[in-house]
Amino acid sequence: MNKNYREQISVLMDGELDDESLSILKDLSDNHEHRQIWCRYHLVGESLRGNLPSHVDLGLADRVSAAIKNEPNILAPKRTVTHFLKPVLGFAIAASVAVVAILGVRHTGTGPSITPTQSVAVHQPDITSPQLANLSTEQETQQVSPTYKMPANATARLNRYLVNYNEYRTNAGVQGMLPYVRIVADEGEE
Amino acid sequence: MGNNVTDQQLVERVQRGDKKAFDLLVLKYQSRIVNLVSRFVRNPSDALDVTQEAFIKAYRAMPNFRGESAFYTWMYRIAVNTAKNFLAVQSRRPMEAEQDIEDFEQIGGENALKEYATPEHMLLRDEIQETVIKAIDGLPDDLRVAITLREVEGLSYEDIAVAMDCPIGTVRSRIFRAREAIDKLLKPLLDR
Repeated sequence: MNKNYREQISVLMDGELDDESLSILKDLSDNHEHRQIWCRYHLVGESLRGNLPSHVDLGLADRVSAAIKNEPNILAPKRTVTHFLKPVLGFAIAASVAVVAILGVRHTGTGPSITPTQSVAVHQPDITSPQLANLSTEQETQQVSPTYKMPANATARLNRYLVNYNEYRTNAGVQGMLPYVRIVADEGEE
Repeated sequence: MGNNVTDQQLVERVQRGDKKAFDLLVLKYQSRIVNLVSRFVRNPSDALDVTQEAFIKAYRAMPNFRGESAFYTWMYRIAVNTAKNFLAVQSRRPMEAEQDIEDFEQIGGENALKEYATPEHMLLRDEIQETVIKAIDGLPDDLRVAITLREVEGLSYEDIAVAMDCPIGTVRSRIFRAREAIDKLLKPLLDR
């Protein structure tokens, strides 16, 4: 056998690959004599490291080979995402989810600066007296949210809106605003 | 580590349908896996059976191997699980010791009871070890140091070149010549 070829096997088993040593991989697996060299070189390595098992069974690989002979050929799908891209891809997905979550929270108005519940609940006793209601609205709104000034007739308009919405909601099967509706409906009956 | 590159190439070949590439992985790792399994399964013959089963399971699972870990790490887990399963099955078979020897004789064919761990295998192990030590002792210093740094210390060619103050091509040649010298003594032993 070509000495250079055996040297390629030596390089291959050390993982110091170049194009030449890669090219012998197929031949190495097909050729019985070359496989024996591969086996003996590895036995030398295990022996030097003191890793030889108590019983060396040279027929083991042949038995495995015979057992998988009748197994269907593996045709695994080719991987399209390389390993170094996976963390980047994961980060991009996580960042997208975070952005959507932040925008969603702002859009749905569940943050602490949104105050319709507080306004409506606090103003409830003042509805019967428009003047007091207007005064109270301004004071309470300033306490809850100093940057936002609610117009004088806003509470009455908001309550009417919620009553209308409640009627629409029951017809359209829309969920939501139940706490507001309960309060406003009670006020409407009064 | 460079070794993983070769494994990766072999794994990709197996995943493209090249069964013989899997043989090279078996030949490469059989000793380590037998040693590993032997820590769980004391009977040497059972350990060889479990090793064989572990490799077959690995082959079947090859489409699921995505290369996120080294092949050996993946194979290691399969071997340990196979060994543990074997022990679990053994512990649920209290009657086995009472089975008549005739039961085994009647099995026959492919399922016949085989004794892989024979005294000859144990003797072979000792002979290989002696032969390799003898061959290493007979090597010139530069070859002995090169093969030892590679096989025992696991250094790359580049690191060995630095350690031995020589070009990488010389390292490659020295390691190969050392292997050849050892193989010259080992081959007749294994061909017997």
